Amino acid sequence: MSVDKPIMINKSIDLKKYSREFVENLVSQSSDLIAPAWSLKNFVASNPLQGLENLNFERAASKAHDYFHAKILPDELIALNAYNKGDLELDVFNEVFTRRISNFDDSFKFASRDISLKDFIHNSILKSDPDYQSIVEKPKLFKFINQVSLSNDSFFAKQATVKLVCHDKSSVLFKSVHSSLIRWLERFYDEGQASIEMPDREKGLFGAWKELALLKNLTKEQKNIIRNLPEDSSEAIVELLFELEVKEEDWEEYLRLSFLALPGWTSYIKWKVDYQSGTSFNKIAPPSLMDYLALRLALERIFGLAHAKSKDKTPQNFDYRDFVEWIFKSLLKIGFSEKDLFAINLNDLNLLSEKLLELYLNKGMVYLESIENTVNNKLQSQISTVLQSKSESVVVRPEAQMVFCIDVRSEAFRRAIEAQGNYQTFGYAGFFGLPIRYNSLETNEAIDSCPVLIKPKHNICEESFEDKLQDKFKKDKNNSFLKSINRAFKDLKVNFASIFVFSEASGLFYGLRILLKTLLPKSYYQFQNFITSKFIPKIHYQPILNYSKSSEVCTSGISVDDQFTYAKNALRMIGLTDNFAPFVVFCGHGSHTVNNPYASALDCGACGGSHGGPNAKVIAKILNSKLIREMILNEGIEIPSDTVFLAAQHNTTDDSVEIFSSAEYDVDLTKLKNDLLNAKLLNNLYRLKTFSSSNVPDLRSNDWSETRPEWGLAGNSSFIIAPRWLSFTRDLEARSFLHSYEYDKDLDGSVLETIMTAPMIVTQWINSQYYFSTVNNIHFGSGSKITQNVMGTCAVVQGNSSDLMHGLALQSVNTSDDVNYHTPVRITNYIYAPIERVKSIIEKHEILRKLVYNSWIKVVVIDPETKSFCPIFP
Amino acid sequence: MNNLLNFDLLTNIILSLVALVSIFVALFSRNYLAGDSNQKTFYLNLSITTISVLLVVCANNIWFFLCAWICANIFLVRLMIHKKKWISALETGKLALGNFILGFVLLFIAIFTIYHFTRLDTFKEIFIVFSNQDVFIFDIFGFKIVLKQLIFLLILIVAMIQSAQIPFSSWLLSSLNSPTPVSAFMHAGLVNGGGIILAKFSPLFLDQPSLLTLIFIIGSVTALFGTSAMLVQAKIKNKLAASTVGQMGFMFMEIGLGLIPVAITHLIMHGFFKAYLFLSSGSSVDRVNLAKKVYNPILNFIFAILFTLVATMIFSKTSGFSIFDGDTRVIQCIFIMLTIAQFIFSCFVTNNFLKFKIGVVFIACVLAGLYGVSVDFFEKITHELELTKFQEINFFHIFFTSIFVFLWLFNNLHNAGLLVFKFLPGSLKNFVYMKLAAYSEPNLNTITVSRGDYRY
Repeated sequence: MSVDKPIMINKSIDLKKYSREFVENLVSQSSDLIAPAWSLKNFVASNPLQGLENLNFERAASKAHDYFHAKILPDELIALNAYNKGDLELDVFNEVFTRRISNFDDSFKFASRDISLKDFIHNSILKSDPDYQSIVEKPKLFKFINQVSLSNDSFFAKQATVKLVCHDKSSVLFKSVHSSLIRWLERFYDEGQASIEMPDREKGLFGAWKELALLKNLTKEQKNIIRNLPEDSSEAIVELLFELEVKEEDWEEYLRLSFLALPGWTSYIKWKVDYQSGTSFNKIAPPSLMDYLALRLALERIFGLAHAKSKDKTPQNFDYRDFVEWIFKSLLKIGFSEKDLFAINLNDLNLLSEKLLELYLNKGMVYLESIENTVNNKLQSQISTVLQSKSESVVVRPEAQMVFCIDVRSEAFRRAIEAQGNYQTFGYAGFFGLPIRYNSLETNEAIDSCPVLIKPKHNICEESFEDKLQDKFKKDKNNSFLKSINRAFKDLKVNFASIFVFSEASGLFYGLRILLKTLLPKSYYQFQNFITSKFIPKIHYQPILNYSKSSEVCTSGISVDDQFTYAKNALRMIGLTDNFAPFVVFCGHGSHTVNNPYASALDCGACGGSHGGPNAKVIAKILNSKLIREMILNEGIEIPSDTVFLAAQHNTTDDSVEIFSSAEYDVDLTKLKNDLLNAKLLNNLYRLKTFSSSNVPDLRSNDWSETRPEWGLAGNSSFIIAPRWLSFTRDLEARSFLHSYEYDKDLDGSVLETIMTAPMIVTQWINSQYYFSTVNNIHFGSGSKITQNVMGTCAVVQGNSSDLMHGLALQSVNTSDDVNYHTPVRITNYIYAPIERVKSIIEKHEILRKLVYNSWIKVVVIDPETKSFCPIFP
Repeated sequence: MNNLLNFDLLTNIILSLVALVSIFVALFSRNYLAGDSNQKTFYLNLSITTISVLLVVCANNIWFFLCAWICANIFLVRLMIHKKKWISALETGKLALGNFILGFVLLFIAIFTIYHFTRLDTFKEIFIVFSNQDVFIFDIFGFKIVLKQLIFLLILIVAMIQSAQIPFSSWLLSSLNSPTPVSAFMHAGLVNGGGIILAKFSPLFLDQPSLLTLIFIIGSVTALFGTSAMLVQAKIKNKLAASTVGQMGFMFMEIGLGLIPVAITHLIMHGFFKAYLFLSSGSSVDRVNLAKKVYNPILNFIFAILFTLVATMIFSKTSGFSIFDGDTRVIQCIFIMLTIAQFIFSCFVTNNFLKFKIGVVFIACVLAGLYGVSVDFFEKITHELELTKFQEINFFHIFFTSIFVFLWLFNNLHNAGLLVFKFLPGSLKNFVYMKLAAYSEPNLNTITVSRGDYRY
């Protein structure tokens, strides 16, 4: 210890300069590239590059490429898949290419062959077979490419000014620091998987580590360093930065790179910090980005002692290597043999590289834009046929009106139900405008059932209908039995001694379960449900709306005034203000899958990654109230007395629709239920075509071996804010979010403003999550489900241990390892409204200006007057 | 052909287990691996491994046994790697292969030695020769070397490697880079190899209490470590792997108690159990409705023990195992008692309904009875194979069993809120935690330390 002391004193003079605020500031600035990543318990899609949205998309892509060392734009394989699916037309591609690349029509001589740039790039896409990839990865060729690319590393001049202490991925230092860091993070952020938790978690990651690390096998010197570290992580950061000899002007960049070294973990911590404050788990294990940094720096310092810094090799220029590899691959595709490649003269190659450089740097954007243009052309031609032929239809009273979530899966289902008869459908954000926290009696859980951008304002509890009290008593009692039995099984499985005999005694039972679940998944679950329903009767609950003020932030129930506002807004938002049908069904949605860690990613995003049924129940109850209807009448919205509002939930996995509490009202729903059943079958057939295996949706929903139970929101490419007639009967392939909007009923534009600032932002989050998970599943997705390992019941890692894998699984966006199902495009928003109105709303809101003018989203106005498409350009 | 393979009842049962699990895994992978670029290779490797394991189980010729053993393990490694471009997966395979190769060498030496001295190559004949106590005893530099024991030691190490006993558990604890179905197959199949090879060579040691005690000690230590390691793991698959280590330890304990048929039953049943848990590991995000509140722990504990005695009596009646036997069956009985007590106590302490409690006791009695019947049944059908040799209880039996009883008790009292960790010195608690955490972590090289290193 005595050796270290003089240094400490020396430094303590310096350190006073840096207050906690200074460090906090530094940390928040350096974490700018990290976007929050949600837990699997309530997965919400978001843009992993949120921090770069203030840059133009193209610039953001190149910056992200530098920082994440990751591909951000579509490659040849994605372009080929798009071509095969009809999402990329060569004409459109050529057009985009000519616009972007000056020498597109050039041809030149290389290795005594005539090569035209056009053929070169066409072949490069159309022959992007994985076989070519394996050829360039053959050891001999791989080595050759390395050699060639080392010979000219000035090609892409990169100024890497700041370097982490552990930056060389192959070094022991890197492995030690990262594996140690990952282990501590896993232990700390575990939410109940381990029976023995990490001790001292309430002290925070850094504090707890300081206690525990001393018990590890470390040298005396290392232990001294740990002992001498300040308790406070902000002080520790400053001290460690000094000790690691990082120049002060580089601090921010150093910390930024430290965050990016484990992007999944830091994103997850950021979510915990930003969105989970006050939750009970955060009290058990307080999350902190600063703790992460302090721990990381401390580990760099400690392991830096044991493993001398690795000698700086001449850094390999990976960008240039990738470029050369791409050239070689493309040459193979236009008919060069492997032998020809080895014969390539270096000078020739340099000349070729110069010719191809512009093309290489632009190809990603060209692929992306050509796909986007093709997809948009297809959609626009569909819509324009309707636009031209639109005639005022005679107003007939529909049999029923159904309000669905804007979700892309609703689009296909709405088509299916509309085909069954005189049904009118609407699209609206799936939480139906209700900022509520719902306390379910079914699960005994409170869920924030509204978009994550909104804080819930009302706490809603449930009660059973009076005639069902007997049932409820039985249910509660049996439920408590079940809970005790579950507990006993869990105890048996995790205690010493009992686990051995338990596994032995129950083995046959488990064997039988494997057999049944694998061979007869559907019957197994039907049987299971049958037994459960005998034992625990399924009863419906209704929400309690009675208002009482319990706390400042969150009232219990909804006051009449608020009920009125929500009712009025809900009807105005979708333009349902007259011609009410006898039934108006508010239809939330949820998924039903088994053995699927990503289950909540398939649920309603507008409801914070949970089922939308509760919100439907609440809005239906409000609108059925006589008092509210009278109040609404004063606003000029007359709801006929025979109109009943119903709540329902659409199961997006098997397309069944459950109508809640219909017994409450004396109405005959036989026809509606029948038609919903037919719609289910119709949509099942439609969706079956999109899967590569013939497992029907009902089976997918219950099959524990199914990694693609449904496609979720994969395929999403556009958001249509318009009345339903604009897309009526058109097959939009479940790729469009649909929000009902009648511009002539919204004279002041306030409805459109709400749509553009809330649902439109959410669709951008979803769209970019799918985009990035598809273009680079390793960096922004979570990899293949087959090797995923659920950590702490709330996140996944790959295999033994890895960075926390945030984003969507490979199986959520790809049909196979090489073929993507989701076509990555930036979302295009079609708005049927006067162009001036749209423009003024964009101007008014910074977030919209940022997204639209930086090309993160596209906005196309369909002008009601001229019936033409007017894109809004920056 | 008769010399090459041997089918007795026990072999047939193990064969059907391996075949069943393999079929289950193959069926499961139809959908699970759909779209995976290596699906076909997976099926090929799975088939070869399965056939090799089947041959290992029923082999009668020692050379044939060796070949099947090597083949099964090599193809298992190929299954484990699955994604060759993923360096960590490759490292996992290398680590396992390294361990297996050591096993191959030792097994080869053992078999070669047997052949060298006996010039016989079928298990049956060899053991007839070896059953004579006085053959092949050498005097080298004054040390008395019994060939039989030497071979036993070699085989024991091979078995320890295969069944991931301490200190060879690292390969299994680091095997989670493999796809889920491979883990399911491995934990229900090839890790059981240790038990199978010991059962095959059992005539070498079944009549020597000291060797059995050695197996018992190895098993106990592994069972303790594996189970404790499971408790600190935060990742579901790692947890299951650690649990398998513990279970394999228990299987060794049972062999050490001279209860080989019981150990084989344990292998089979644990195979189904663990395969199920692996295949359903994606569900660990789902919330399970668990009772948390605890009522009257002390009173309920006393009642639980009382009713456990009743249920144990029923088990004794149906199985023929009794606490009063005075031999190693007692140990087995104690473990069964702890299990019954756990079930009754956990139910009692979380629920206040009398009707429920009566139901629980009834169910416990019925299950204990049924379990006893199955033990008895298995005992009877394997009787003629002479694989059971009850041992006298010795110090080690008592010592390790007491540790298990103590930990079991400690865990329950702690969960019931009767014992608070705070009473323990904080440093001791932290020390134990860190030791367990360090033991259960996968090998450094098999961790995907950088996101970009992952490949699919």
